[in-house]
Amino acid sequence: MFNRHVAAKLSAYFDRELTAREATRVAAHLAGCSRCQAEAERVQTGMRLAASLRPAPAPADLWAQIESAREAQSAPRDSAWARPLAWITAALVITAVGFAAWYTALREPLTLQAMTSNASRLERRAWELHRERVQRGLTLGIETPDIAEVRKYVQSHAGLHASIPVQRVAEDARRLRIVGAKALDMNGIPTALLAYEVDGHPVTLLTARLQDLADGPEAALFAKDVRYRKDASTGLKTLTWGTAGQAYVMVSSLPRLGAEGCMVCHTDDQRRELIRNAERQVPGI
Amino acid sequence: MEATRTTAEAVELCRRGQREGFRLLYELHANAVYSLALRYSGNEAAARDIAQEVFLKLFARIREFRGEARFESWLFRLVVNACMDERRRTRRLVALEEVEMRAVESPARAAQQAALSAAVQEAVLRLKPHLRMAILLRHMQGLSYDEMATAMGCGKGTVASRLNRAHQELAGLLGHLREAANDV
Repeated sequence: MFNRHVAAKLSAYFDRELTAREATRVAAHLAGCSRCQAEAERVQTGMRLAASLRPAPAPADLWAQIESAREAQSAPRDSAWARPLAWITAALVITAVGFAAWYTALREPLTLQAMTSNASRLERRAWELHRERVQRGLTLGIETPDIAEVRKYVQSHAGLHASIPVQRVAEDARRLRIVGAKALDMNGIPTALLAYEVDGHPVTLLTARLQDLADGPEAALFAKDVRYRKDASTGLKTLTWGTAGQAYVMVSSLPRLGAEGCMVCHTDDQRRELIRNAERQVPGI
Repeated sequence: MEATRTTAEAVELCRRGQREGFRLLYELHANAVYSLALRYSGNEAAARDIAQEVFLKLFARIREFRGEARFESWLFRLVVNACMDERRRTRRLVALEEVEMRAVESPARAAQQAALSAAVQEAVLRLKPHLRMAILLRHMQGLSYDEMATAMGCGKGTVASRLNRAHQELAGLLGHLREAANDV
């Protein structure tokens, strides 16, 4: 009578996870099969080795880290944290009026600071995609220099905004090349990648909704707060910021901090000069 | 049973938006979550990121837990997903030569067990991700095959198959430590 080997069932057998009928069959087979006996000894050795694994205590400051991230996400407040409604309303009205006056007069300022915290999920994903694009080529969802088509694609496939002006200035014709875009799913989070080149350097811009990210950048309100990283070993520059409900990560090997990559969304001369000035003021640049 | 009842209380507090509930849930499960993340990734920074992601998702989704399954199964499902996501992002590689070079030499039993545990940890990092997760959920978290199936999002047969392969591979990697393992 054909008696199938039981090697695949050995762990379940020793863990008592088989039915009584299956366990009886495995035991009977083991009694007469030297091959499966050898496998049983091997599996039992593996089980004993695995049993020596020891848990590790969570770091003492992990809760503080989680609380900070949670507060940054604007977790629901309980009644003990609620502020008087009248005070909040007044503050919002004053802020909105002041912001409108300031913005129309001064334009949105910009701060550029070094990133000191661990890389966010979005940043790590952006690096991964940029490396893939540069080293092996990345299959895009749409390959076209047509900015309107790219914007439509990002909106329809990822539900995100790609605020790239269709009307360009003269210098962009020789400096900027739109390659295409790709809609992605970052573990359930809709993400969009914009691939383009500035002065021949590939630039990868990854975006996702701020509300979907546990570790996204601060959303800009009064000033666009851009954080940068420079990787000396790879030459990659990363700029990260949040605005209009979306987080952005830009990766490139452009000179200095890679801020020339911002030209894709900013065509105004004044704005471009503001960005370059911010970059020049960073120590060491 | 006491810990289970306390988890239930913590979950109820969280559902009502009580801040102490979140802290209680964290204190009950932080070590398990962090351990799994650390032994899976082999990297403390990654383990912190994974643990943070898990607890933030847990707090955001606590109302989705309806109590049909054991809380730990649901929790570890979040951990498994976060670990897999971290792996896809970073693809960290383990230095392969470290496993062969390590030997259990200390005469003291406690030191011997610590060295064995360290060697096993490194070998576990060499396993394929799904096999590694199966080993950790079973041997470090003590999950049943049914609970592992829930956590890993697969059938019980797949759990059994993965564990079997993982045990065989560990034995292959660390067969020279068989006698030390027998003393554990």
